Amino acid sequence: MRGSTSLGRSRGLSGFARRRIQAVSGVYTLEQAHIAGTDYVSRVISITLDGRTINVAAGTTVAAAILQAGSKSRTSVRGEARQPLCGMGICYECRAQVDGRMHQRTCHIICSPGMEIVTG
Amino acid sequence: MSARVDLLVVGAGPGGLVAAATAAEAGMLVGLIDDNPSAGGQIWRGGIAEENPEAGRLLRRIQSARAETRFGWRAIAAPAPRVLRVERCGEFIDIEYNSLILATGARERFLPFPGWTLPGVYGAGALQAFVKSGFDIGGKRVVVAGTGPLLLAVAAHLRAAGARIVSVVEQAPLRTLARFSLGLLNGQTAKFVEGAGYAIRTVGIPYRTDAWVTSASGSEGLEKVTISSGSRTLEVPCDMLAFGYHLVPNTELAQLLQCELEAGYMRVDELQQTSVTGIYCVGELTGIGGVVKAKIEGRIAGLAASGQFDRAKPLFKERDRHVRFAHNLDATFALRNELRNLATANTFVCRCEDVPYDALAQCGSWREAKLHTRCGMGPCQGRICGPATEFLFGWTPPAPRPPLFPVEVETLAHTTDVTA
Repeated sequence: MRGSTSLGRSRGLSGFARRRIQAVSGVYTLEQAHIAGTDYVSRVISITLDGRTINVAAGTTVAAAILQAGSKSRTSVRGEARQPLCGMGICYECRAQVDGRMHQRTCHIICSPGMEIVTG
Repeated sequence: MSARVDLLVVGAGPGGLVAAATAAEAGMLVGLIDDNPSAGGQIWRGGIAEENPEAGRLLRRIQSARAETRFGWRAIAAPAPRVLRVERCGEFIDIEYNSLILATGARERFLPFPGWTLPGVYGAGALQAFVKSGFDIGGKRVVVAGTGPLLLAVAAHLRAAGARIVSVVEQAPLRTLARFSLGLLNGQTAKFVEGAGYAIRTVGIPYRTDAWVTSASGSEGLEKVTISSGSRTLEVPCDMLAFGYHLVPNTELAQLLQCELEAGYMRVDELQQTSVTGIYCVGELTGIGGVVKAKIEGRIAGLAASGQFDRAKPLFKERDRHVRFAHNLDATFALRNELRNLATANTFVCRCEDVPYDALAQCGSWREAKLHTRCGMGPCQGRICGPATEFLFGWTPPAPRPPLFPVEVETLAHTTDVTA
């Protein structure tokens, strides 16, 4: 469950540290993680998006990572670049190849270290 | 999860969680599945660094009773009476149940307009979900548009996350909204206070009523939207458009199970039971009424499924009040006729198959459109274009067929394998 591994609760951070981390923007740099004053370094993970390495906060969905990178998620049948639309697993506009598996709904997948995303 | 449960609950939003907790604590063996990676549904979506506390509390109540939960699993078919086939990543199992509570929620209604397929145009609730899931919206100029109470909630949340809300664009007339707000004062004080809270937090944001986005444009992604507001047409530069025309219930699974619809929602009796004995529907499936309605309906269905009818009865009156509120919402945020004229000849209505408006305008029915244009035959299976064509052309999509979602070929090939 995402909830039970959630940062802070499972690691016993102080309320201040937790608030501080939540205040930091969605994508963390190592430097920001140190500023937050925690072992949050381990909570920043790297994935590859179309061969490019990007860093995201642990818990980020693949769809959010795609938006953060300013990337398309797929190309439509008539050649348009598309991005996720519904955010809830219904529209399939967010689908991409994840770790070799085709047509995955990226809004329902949490990034894991080393995950390879290939957009269509 | 055991292949056999007393009660199966589909959907772990507020309605499903309350239903599952109620029945599990009454000693039933409960199964709970949800398509999402975690509990809470759309309204109780946690952030990336936190779970929603209410969802977490209910989930722990469920998990400490005789219950099993599966996240990332979705129902795709009903291979036999009182059996649901659920799937994840090509893996599937069949779950046998005595009773079934459906709490499958709602999705946003999207109406096509020129430019709505551009990168930078998202659902309103969707953009909120992306921000909660790790997308940094800091500094982005955002227009929030469409209709419904969700727009203000989304605007308030996005602003708190650092977005610059350029405008909130509501198609409903101010007169209707004013009447609705006064109605809230009459017996819906909590909701009025909540609405007022959003209004206060969005002070300073231009809130336009009687207005709607007519087009979005940009070379590779969104650069500006055009807004029709009264007699004026405005061009508004922005980075993102978050839009949605209120919500439509996810009735596909209930329909597959032969439960009857009534005016677009699932028909239920006072115990939330559908036209099919032993199958209950709660939450947005019976009327778009939000979290309080979903919780009380979940409670009633959980009590009914566990035979505690006397404890359900005192809840009817309050439930009925929330159902009336849902009807009021639908009436207040009814779609205006002008929205039927937004799509131009080459605007894609079906995004999966890129079917333009003019191809559909030549068809007489959903079936004809499907045969001639492939409209609705893509992976969303008409969930996005269906409600749009219903509004644009008055078509009623036929009852859904299995599999309810696209599945891998092996899953289909093994459909008769596992019934144990």
